[in-house]
Amino acid sequence: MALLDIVGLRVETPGTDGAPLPLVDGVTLTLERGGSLGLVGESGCGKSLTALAAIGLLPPGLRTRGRLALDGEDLVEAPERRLRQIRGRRLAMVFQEPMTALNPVRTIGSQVAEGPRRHLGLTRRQAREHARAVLDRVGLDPTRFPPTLYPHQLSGGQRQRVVIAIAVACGPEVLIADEPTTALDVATQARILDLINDLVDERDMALLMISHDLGVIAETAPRLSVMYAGRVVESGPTARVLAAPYHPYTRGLLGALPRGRGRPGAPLAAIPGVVPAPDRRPPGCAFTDRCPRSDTACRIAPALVADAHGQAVACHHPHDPEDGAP
Amino acid sequence: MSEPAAGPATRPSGWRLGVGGWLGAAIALGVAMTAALSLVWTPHDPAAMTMADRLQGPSALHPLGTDHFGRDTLSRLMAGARVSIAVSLVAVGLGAGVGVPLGLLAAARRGWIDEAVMRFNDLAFAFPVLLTAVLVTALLGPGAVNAILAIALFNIPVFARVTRGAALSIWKRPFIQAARLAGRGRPRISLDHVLPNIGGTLIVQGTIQVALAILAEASLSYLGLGSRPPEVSWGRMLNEAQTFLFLSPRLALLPGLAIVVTVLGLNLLGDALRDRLDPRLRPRPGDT
Repeated sequence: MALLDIVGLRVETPGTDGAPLPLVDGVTLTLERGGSLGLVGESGCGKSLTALAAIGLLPPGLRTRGRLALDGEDLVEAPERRLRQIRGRRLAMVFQEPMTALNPVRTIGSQVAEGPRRHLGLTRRQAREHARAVLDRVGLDPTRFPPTLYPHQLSGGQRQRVVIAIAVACGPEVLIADEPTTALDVATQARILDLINDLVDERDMALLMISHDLGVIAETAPRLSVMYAGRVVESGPTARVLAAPYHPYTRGLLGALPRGRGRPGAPLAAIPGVVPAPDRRPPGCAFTDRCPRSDTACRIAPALVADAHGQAVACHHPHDPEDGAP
Repeated sequence: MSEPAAGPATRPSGWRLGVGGWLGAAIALGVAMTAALSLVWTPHDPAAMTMADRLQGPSALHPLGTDHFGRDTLSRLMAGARVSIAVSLVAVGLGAGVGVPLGLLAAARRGWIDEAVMRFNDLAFAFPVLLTAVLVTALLGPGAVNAILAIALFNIPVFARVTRGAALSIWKRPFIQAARLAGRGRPRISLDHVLPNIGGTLIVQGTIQVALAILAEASLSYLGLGSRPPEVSWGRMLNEAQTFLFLSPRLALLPGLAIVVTVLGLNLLGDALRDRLDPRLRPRPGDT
């Protein structure tokens, strides 16, 4: 049985005309114990909402439907009291923005200690010692960065280390990292990714890595799912999907990566158009309006179909693997 | 492995309040000490009348002169400080004690609780402050305790509103989600994460409200609805002085000046405290 099992997950907002409007529309993801999965897509495609729904922290007003189970236990219908025991303890999250994910008026030590004190039932003193050890593990040596520091006294990378320390402090089984390096410069990004990879290996955590950056996913996750407009359009082993994507959207994403062999000043490759707003999605495949291969068949939503290698695509006109890399 | 360090870590130290802050603190402390001193010692008994010495100018015996009953003005100003401070501090404390939890509750729960608290607030705001105070004292009778209740009553909605507004913006911050991941319920998050972040705002509001309460107490006493003789207060002194405004303007100017200086000092202090108490404004280790 998969550790985290998400089947047909929908996140709905009450639409203007009263009919529920799906922001995330039937996402299916499975995460095995100790496994890693990348979730990639443009801004607004629903990847962060998927993560927030998984951990039960959706903004008020949004509804979760579908199946969402941790180790077989359903989380959609679970009472708040039960969710509070699971959140942060078994499911943890690394937030995107280290500036705002830390409380500016509390010391980093007290913020790391908060979860263990409650979830692991530690005394105040034990929790403080635990926080010290965790901060040390994420690379904040207590002699140079005592737990009594406030967040603003640290740099962006150091703050993100604190955010990671908070997430792993209770020894979660699943770590959800929502764009953990987006706010950081490139050199720091690499070190933070190394840290996350090390922690995941060392503690046998399952990792759901969310990013718009294919490079980040390639470095952290052996499997990936590509989201577009609230749906998974392609998924499979990262190496295969990146080498020979089936879906025109995945090809577009890869084609849009700057390669460093272009002429300076030459326009960057881009996918024409923008992601349709949730209330403007065309019927059928949501990528139709931007897709070079679309025809009338695309008005019917394609199902996600897998090949022999576990690479699945939701498209009526997938690219041939013989087409090679974009 | 590690990012460029922010320098060796040291705890921020020192009390940087700035000139205005120190001046405000000195004034507030001075008024408080004067009030405390008046409990045990004043140059003369503030209530003792000496008809022969009435309406005298400053002299060695009476440094600030005497009033129309020959009572020593300096002694009366000192005793008045005591009443003004006690009434306003207790009133604002009560107002904040009820208003802040109400505001936190409204922000944490939203929904109908929020609506109920805020509409009750609107109702309280709809009546002019002094009218409410007059109503309370009319119902309960004049006196310092009832003045406290009246002033506390109009402080509740102020604190509830300021707290709710500030707390709502904090609830939207991602670190609140981190706190929820730590398994905390809304009441604990309100106390441990929201309240410290809005403390600066509340302290500034508190000092402004104390200043306003001193004015309100003076107004009530001036109208004869606050403290009663033989209790002294700055407002009562103003009230009694108006008959002799042309004969002896000093009698009105002195308590008026005491009120102005105290209010100014509290505002200066509040501003400086906000800057000081907000850890976000503290320097990074290594900064000079």
